[in-house]
Amino acid sequence: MIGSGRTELAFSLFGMNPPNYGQILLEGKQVHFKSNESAIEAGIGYVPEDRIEQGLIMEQTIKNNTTVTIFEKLLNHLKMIDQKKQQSTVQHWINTLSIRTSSIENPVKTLSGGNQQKIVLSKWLATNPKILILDSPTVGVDIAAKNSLYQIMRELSQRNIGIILISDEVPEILYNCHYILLMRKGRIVETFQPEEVTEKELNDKIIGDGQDE
Amino acid sequence: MSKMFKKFEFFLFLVIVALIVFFAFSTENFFTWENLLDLLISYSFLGIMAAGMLVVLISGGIDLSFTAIATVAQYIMAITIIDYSGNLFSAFLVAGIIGIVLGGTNAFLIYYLKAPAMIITIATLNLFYGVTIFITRGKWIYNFPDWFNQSHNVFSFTAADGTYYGIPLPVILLVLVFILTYIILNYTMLGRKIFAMGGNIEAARRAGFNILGLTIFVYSYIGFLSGIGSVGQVLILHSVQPNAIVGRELEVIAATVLGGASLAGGAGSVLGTAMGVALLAIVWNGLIIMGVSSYWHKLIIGLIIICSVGINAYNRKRKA
Repeated sequence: MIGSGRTELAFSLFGMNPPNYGQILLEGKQVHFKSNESAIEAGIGYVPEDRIEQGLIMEQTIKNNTTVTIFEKLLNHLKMIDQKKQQSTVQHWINTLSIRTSSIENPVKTLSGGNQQKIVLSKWLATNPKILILDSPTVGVDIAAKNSLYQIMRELSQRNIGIILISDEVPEILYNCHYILLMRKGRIVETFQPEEVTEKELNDKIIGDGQDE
Repeated sequence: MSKMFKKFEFFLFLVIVALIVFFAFSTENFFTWENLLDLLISYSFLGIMAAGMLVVLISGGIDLSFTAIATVAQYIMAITIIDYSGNLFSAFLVAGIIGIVLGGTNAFLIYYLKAPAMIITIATLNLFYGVTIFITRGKWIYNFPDWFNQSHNVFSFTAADGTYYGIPLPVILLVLVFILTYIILNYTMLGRKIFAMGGNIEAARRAGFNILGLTIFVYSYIGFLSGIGSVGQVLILHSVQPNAIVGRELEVIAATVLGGASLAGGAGSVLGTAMGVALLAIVWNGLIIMGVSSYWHKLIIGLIIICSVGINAYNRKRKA
């Protein structure tokens, strides 16, 4: 739920909000992120809650939006952006995530909500992450595109990319997660597996949130 | 987006051609080699500063202090070469470094005070300029060494028939600055990041961009260009005057916006800026040659800017 501190926690994992205490372990090793630059380098990607305000440059091309996280990897020996490499990288993600567009030179704002979200996803996948944090990834996305996002999430986890899904949609959590962590006021108050709860029970637990106090 | 700009640039090009044809037929002295070369020389400084402004606008910022930076650079450059001698290279070096330092100061203030760039740079405009006038007491400087006054042209030679040819240094500088800016904006990672930052700073921050570093580059770049451009200006005028540059900020911003750069950030091109400067220069010069009262000049320039911004906004809306 909003106000539970879940985005703040995600920010801490992504190096944008230094934690007050505790430690962050990545593949069993303790890590300290000075900034999100170092978190990205360590293999963490963060798909933000609000793709229009925080994720995309709406007026600019699909090409630039998809490669904005990996300009460093596209440089040729003159330290210039290798245009061909940039195009083939973007084309690769367009095909992999089946993003529908007539040209990668089109501005992102010409895409549907679901395809826009796939662009945000692909710019983080392009960084080759170990952990991908998805903050409310299906908000404002139609049913068909939602299902294709769930499909992508499943494929990613099969390729050993850890996914942290932040959401308050009960079915979305129940049918896509291995572990469920319930947060309340900045703390993780309950941990369970999807087999242990029904939709209704989970819904009650989430709503119970506000009625405690 | 590039298609839209190409369209806008083509439109600008047509307007420029139409203006040249108009002035060429309605006046005798406009379409002459001397006048066009004079025009190029006298607007080279404005063009150099506009290239810097383009980069700042694309990054989503704005700078109003660069004319004061240019004035500070001119005074310090003039004092060093008059008191300690030196050469042309050291003159450019001193002015360039002053520009980078003062531009960098702007960047730190904007980044750490988290105040709008416009407010900060209005403050530093007054600060830089005020301190300079206080220390120099607004004194004009003329007594440049001969070697300095004579380095107006490069590649100069006298042809067999006795005609003197030469390419003015400020014009060379203008061309180099435009090429450099074009390469930075279109082919380097730095340029792509500046576009992205201007398009959506929050998205840029989350993509791991070093926002402080980019801000420092952008404001140091316009400072650097103002610095070296101001040396070119001294080479033309053979003097440093306290009020020769300050006050022309809006002209530079107008030329850049006329060329399609967005005040909201994330959009603009070197070709557009070059044409914006050309258009402004042609209108101004043509009106003077036609003998139109100078009261009308600003009004006409104002109307041109409104039309240009209007057409740009209309194009953008239609594509949306």
